[in-house]
Amino acid sequence: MKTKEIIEKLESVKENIPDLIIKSINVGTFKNVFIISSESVSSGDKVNDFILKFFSNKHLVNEKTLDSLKKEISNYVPAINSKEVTNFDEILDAVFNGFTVIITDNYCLAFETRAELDRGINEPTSEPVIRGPKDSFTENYNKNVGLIRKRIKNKNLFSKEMIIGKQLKSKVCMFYMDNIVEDKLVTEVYAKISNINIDGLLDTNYIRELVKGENKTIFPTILSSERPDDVVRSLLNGKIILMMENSPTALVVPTLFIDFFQNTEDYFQKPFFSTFERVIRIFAFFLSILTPAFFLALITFDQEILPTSLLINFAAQRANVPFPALIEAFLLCFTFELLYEGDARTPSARGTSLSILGALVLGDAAVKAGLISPIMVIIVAVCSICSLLFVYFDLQGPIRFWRYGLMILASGFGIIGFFAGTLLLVINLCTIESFGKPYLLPLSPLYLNEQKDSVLRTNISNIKKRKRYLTTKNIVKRR
Amino acid sequence: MKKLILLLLIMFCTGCNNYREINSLAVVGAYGVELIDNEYKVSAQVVNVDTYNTQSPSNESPIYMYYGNGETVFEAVRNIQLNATRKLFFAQTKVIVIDDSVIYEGMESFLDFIARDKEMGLNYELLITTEVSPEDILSTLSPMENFTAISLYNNVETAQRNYGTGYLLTVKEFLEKYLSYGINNVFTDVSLTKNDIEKEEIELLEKTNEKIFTVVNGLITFDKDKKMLKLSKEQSISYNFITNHIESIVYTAECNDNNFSIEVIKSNFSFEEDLKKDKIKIKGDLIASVTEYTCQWVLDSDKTLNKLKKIVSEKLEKEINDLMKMAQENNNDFIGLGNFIYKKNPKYFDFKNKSWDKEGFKNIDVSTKINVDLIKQGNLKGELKNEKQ
Repeated sequence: MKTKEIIEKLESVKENIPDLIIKSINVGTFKNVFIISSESVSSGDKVNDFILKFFSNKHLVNEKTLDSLKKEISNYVPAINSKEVTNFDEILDAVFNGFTVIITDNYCLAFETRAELDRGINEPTSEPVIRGPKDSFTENYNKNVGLIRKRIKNKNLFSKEMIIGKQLKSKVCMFYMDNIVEDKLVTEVYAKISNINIDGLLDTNYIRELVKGENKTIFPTILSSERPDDVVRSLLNGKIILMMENSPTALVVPTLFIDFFQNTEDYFQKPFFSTFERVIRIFAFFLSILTPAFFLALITFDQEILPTSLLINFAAQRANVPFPALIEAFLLCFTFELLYEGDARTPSARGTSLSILGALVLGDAAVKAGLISPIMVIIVAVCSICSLLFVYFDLQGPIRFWRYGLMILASGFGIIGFFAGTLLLVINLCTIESFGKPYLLPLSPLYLNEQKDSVLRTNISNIKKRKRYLTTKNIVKRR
Repeated sequence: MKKLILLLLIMFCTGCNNYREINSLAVVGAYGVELIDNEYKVSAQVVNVDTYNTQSPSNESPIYMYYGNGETVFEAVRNIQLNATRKLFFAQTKVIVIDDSVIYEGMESFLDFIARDKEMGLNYELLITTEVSPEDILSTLSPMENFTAISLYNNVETAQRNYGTGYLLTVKEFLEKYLSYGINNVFTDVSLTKNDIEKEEIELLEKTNEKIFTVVNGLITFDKDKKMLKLSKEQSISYNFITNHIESIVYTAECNDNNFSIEVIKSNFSFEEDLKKDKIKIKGDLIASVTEYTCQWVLDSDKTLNKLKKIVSEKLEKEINDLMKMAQENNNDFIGLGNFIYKKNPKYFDFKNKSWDKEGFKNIDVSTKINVDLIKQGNLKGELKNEKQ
């Protein structure tokens, strides 16, 4: 390809891409050496220091004629990452990726001069911890890979990169421990990911929806995490991690139901306390879904079940409420959802006024005005607090969906509707699969030998083998 | 998915059957049945929910009384609804009080009603009144509990467990005994401290001297001919001992010149049959502790303890034998020996065609053997005495 042609094309492209820099310099006898770079994704300092300075040094100090500029450039320009590009599209790709391209005499070479376009490594915001590592993934792909690689200094950490998205052309990468993970899973995940056909991925969370055969259910079958230590733990258990550039979240596949109740922090505390916390979490999950529905069933249909003093108490509290119990419950839940969404979208500087208003509206004024009964406030508060207990935010959607579904069932058919709905929930959980694994593993089907680290967490020294239901390769963890 | 939608649609065809809001109910805590001029009168004690409201507590009476008359019990219950604006809710009933007139004349309709009605269940207590009407009992306010039905229940429960003078008879047990061979029901007779009651006001209750309480009079039983038999205090205690309903009672016996008391901690009674010789043996094991002791004998010795054990067991044996004798003389097997025999050996007596009370019961020779264990002496070891003497 002729240098002249390329430059002409580039000049025409520059009209629409003003941050493209086309600089022409002379190096000794060699005229028309072109340096192509991007003002935005390349770092001007790096281009100056390592490329332009190289040429000017050659020009000033070394007066003798250069035999071959090509050889000089490829051998002596101080840049570790360089590649030869052959056509016009590749030149542009390289430039947009933060490379600087040197064109001379129909020969193009690209050097990496990428600018640091991201925040540094911060504390995790959506999955905070009290104890344990406090670094989290950022938007910088290489930094993310680095965060994993510095924890796994092992040649068996394999990564398969692929480019996905016709327009955005993002790099998606899947990581796995080759000596641990099941081969079948690798091929399955690879096939599913590489088959994704879309114009552009903005974040890894796109992948969650695009993977075929997953997420037909409302429960999340792919977990997203922003914590490297969390991800490394999954890798050691024989799972696969998906990451992509410009995304601060990593995906973990396959993800089972129990994973949402096991935080990495559990392993930094005494086993007894971790077990206790896991039991609380599971309890809270069901409490959050079932409480309002059960309460509605009791006070609108099956008052016989309530102890007498409780019945009288409830009746006294509801005495002046003008709405049916279902409307009352939905009114309160809806107000809570409004507050919840409002709080999530409010900058923290404005958050205080919202919470004060919420507390006044929900807790006090509505009760005093006789719109809702105090007991309903308690019920909704309990179930809402329970739904906020999980480190992984993904579980909140299904919790809400089932909560409202069960509330409607319970207020239509009483305790029978409630139990029918609960049965549906359990059946639904039992039928889900995540990349071929039953969702409720190891609880259903029950693996008695694998209970050392499911709901229970026994001492780490007792867990000598990897989870057999996840992988059978390299099963012995410690002797 | 289609199936799911269909399933949901089918479920919605029920049209919220049985839907009722909790605050549209009138919770009946207790109700009474009596027979006046061949008409049933049902008096329902409805809890006044407003007094429980913590937001704006009211000074009204914690209960309302509603009345209804009818040819049958169910009709009477329905007629209550004429006066009450809310739907009466009988599922939380704790106590039912019946007048003895119901036992004498209107048993069939009443029994059918309590067994057939689906809202009430069978798990509430049945009490009987002989001196006053059920209405009077139920309209009495209690100073301790807002919910007077509970206080009535607690009254009888304490009487049974700690004094041996009451007997908690659930409706289920009542029906079971009524339909079984060889056993008659024993009821708790409740009454009031004063008989000349007017309708009380809440102000009256605030003056402690003029309070009117419900009291447990004792146990009564009816034989198959509806002949009433009252049990004395000792007989009531013996009855509760035999039927294993004593939890902890104080039992006092005499030693030479003084009295001593023991508290029964645990008691276990059982029957032993020897039907070839027409004999039934009542065996009892008591574990008790000495709670008061002023006798002359040195308490801290095996000899004295054995003596005390013997005194207690002999006294109790005598009382139980007296009770059995009384039952046999009156042809009323309320203890259930006949039922025990029927379960062990149904061929022993022709329960179907003959009257066990009249023909079989008196032929049984009942003996009693009681074994007492004294395990504690309270905070003192031995008796309280001056060391110098």
